[in-house]
Amino acid sequence: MSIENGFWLQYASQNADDLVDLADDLADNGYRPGIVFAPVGNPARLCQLYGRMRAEGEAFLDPSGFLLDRDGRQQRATNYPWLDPTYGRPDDLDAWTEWMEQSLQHQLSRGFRGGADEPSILVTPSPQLLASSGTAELYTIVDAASAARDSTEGTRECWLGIAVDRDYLRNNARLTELADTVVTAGFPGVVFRCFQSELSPISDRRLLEGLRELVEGCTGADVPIFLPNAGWVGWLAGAWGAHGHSGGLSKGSWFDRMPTPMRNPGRRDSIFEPQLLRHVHWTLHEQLFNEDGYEECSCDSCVTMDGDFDAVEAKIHQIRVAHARSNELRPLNVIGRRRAIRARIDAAVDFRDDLPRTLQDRADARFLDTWLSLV
Amino acid sequence: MRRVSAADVEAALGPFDELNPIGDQSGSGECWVGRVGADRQVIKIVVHEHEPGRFAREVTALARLDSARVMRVQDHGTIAVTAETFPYLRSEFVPGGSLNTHMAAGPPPDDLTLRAFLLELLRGVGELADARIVHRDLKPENIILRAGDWRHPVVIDLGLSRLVDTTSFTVYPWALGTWPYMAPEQLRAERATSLSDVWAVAIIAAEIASGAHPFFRGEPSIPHDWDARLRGGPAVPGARPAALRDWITNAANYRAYRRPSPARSVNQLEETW
Repeated sequence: MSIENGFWLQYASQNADDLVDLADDLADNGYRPGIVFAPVGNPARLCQLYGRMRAEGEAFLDPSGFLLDRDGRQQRATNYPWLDPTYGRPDDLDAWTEWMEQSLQHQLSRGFRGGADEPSILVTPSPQLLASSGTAELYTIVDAASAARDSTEGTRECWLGIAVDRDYLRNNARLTELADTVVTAGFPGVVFRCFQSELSPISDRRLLEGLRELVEGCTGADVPIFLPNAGWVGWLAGAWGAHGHSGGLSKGSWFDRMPTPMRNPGRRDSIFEPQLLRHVHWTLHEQLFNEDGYEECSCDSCVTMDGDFDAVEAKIHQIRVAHARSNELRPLNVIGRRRAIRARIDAAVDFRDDLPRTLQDRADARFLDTWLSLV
Repeated sequence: MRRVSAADVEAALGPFDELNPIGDQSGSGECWVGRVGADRQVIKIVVHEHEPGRFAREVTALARLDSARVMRVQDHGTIAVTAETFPYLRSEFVPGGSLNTHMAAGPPPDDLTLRAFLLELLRGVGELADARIVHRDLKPENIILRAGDWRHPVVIDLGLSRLVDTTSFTVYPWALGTWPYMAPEQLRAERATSLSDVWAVAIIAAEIASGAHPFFRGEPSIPHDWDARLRGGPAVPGARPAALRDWITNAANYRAYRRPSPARSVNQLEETW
């Protein structure tokens, strides 16, 4: 038993009410994507949405244990006890195990799921592991996850949650220890996050190489790896064998990013450009539209917009494209997926290189060269 | 100087017709062979336990294993000696001689016999992995050929020396003299996993296949260039089947997570050899 592979919808507190309808809508054009829920927002609304979603398809709660290391809100203390900022950070195996058990029990509880089925999978929470702190905490977290899994009643698979900073993937020694530990932990799957500082699209070669190494290691060992909030990097990781990835209607649900100041705040009128595999400003999109070789998107959202920017439809357009790309890949094996993804990136490079110099500069799609070299 | 006497053992486990100390004292454990009637058993006592939780978990798991490929645990518990209490493990005595004895006596097994040996050994390591047990110290001395038959290897010496590995042992992993079969991650003082056991099986297979250890030549202590040697990968004579050489190359990958699991190893060897 495993979960659906490919693109999943990511729950966030923004636009959450539309997600289930969107999943229904997407199911008309291919598979029905599951929803990755998160312990944020109003718990009653989350419970209600989970129930609606689970009645028709797959869903699980990513316990997002890394929020323990972020500024907490009081709401978490009440509704999601393992994220209580006043709880104190566990500091030994028993305390981490107890912390994880709280989360697993919550995932199975009526408070989370109401009367709906148990989640498609359970996921153990992980704090954000820092490469600079050494691997002792990694070992403790995996041991605690095993113990918490063993002590939790439930009929669903329990996957290992791991969240690391980017240096874990950029440092060869840490990467090796991480991959060794994850591959041999004895879990049927891994839900993995790596926090970094770049806005999408990610072009940090060392980070991507590290992610490729980890994903290929897991895939080679038949341990499916799921990348929540990874957005288009998650799609790229499909070339290396990643089982799935997620993105949602909230802009932040497309890339795991450290909470740092935004470099371009206020530029909301952007749209995902499928031929460049990145967001561009709407005015640039209009200019690209008139270029030779441009392929007009025919998704329902673009048809609805009909040339006029609409913020909500623009978000849904990106999801429709991600779902369509996933539909292409799902019937293929890993080699076929790699070929298909490489072909998409190849085509994007060709399109970019054929643009006039001024548009090339504005599109800033140099990351494609890095991506192409990695598949 | 043993910390546990025959009288201590008999006081805890009852009388034996014969009870004799055996084996080297690794610094962490002491071993005895006892006989009650025709039944011979091995008693291993952990006198330096650095990680009690792990010992309890793994011995409990080991006791649930019932495999002809892994020594069978008969019981386990604690032995009180004056003011101290030591965990012990009682297991079957497997007659037939250790693998290193047979390797030294020769001749080396032919390809078919080696294949049977390797598959059985990997199945045993796979059973341990399924039970979430890592041996951590697989070497020819810790494999018995049951009744002297290469086709029936039995993994022994579990639940003792390497169950105490995460503190002093991993800081100085070569201090106990078993480094030639240790995986790179163990020699780097990182945590051993079931893929560390796969590495050891690959090194043992390479040594049997070629008649010499693939990386070391009897150095008394770990050479300074050990890391470079292990990164270079093992060499296996061309006279042996290509499928064996391919598997050894994969299983002795410097990066543990790139090695095939025991189950995948068995599948690969059965399909290709």
